[in-house]
Amino acid sequence: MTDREILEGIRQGNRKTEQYFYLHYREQCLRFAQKRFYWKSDTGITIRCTQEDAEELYNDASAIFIQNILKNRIDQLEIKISTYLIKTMQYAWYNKARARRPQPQTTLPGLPESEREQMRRHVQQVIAQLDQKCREMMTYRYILGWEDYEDIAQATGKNNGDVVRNLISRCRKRFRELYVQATNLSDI
Amino acid sequence: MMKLNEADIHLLEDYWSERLTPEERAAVEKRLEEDADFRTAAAEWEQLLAEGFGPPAEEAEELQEIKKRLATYGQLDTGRPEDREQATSTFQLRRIYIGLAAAAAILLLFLFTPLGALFQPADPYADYFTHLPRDNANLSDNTENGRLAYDRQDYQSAYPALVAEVAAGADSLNLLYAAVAAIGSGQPAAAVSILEPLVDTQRWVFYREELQWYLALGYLGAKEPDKARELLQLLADENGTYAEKAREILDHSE
Repeated sequence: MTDREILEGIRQGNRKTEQYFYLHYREQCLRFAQKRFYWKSDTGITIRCTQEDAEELYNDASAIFIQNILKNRIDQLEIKISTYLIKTMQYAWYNKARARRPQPQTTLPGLPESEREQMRRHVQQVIAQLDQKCREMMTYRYILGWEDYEDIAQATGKNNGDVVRNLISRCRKRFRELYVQATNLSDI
Repeated sequence: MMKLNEADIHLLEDYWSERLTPEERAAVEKRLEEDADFRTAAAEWEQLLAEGFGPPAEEAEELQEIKKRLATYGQLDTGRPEDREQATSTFQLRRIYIGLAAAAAILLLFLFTPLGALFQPADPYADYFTHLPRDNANLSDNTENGRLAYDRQDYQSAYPALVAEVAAGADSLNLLYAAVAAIGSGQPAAAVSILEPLVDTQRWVFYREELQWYLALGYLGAKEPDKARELLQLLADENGTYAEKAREILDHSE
């Protein structure tokens, strides 16, 4: 089954394709994560990705991949699905490592769950209002958390990271405009 | 949030991702301390990033449903789909081929190499060269090309074929494998010419270790020990996959 067929099958809700997708890339991604993912603690100890960590990362990356296809947030892939999964797993791993370090002191006090939920609804509503290109860019950058513009360029078939950086900048501006409108409307 | 401009957002996101130099970091922290409006706007954007881009309740439920489905596929792993069995057997077959090829190579080595040369290799670093399995393997791709030659460790054929394929628009990750093939086929200078610019761009975050390791081997083969030592020291200090081998070479070279 080709990557294109997998994408199309998942989009159409074909469970057999979904099962094929999940099992087909599993071993490769788990091996890669256990071999390559590690980070250093503040005390200099190297912490490696265990089998359990790798499985969690793979399950999360696969589930988000399926959901993003079903939600039309990812239109087409210009890289192999395995590369996409591994990169998503790697960013999740970095974020996990980063979360264990002391954080910068800019954070506002935590929001109550109801406000957090409302914020998420506004964000999803605004992302849905963006055009396909911006929806895709905002998904890679902020929903999937990909930080390297070169990676996004490869995944979306753009020439280079600078093109993506400029595109994200424009999309983010549009997002912020719509977000403010959406939140104001909700206050009325 | 509206008080931030795009340049501010870039700066803040680089700050939160720990990608700023110590000087830039200090400048951001000073501004956060002194400019209350900037501090509030930064905190709002950070909060939106941290909490707003997660899935809302219904989507989180959907995600959980998907995860449950995936877990059942995992449990059914013993009864894999036909395609997976085929893929697995292809993979196993390839491993057998590689094993047979390696055994044949060893046999040929014994038949045609004087024993002295076997136990006293001309290049003491040749022992450190190992095949780097490709991460962009595509089991459904059966057409003969540089990647398959590389998988067979037919480096002599793989090196020019991979370079030509990248030039024609194939996955640029194949440049790394072309360089490995160049070293494997006794062309370390060619490997250095491929790897040096890749290491210098610093864009290949995920393959940085491999690039540095094979470039170090390339330097050793091309008789540039100082450059090799510098990279090996870096690999040894970072304590990653190649640290042990790098230390061994450094110890030998002293």
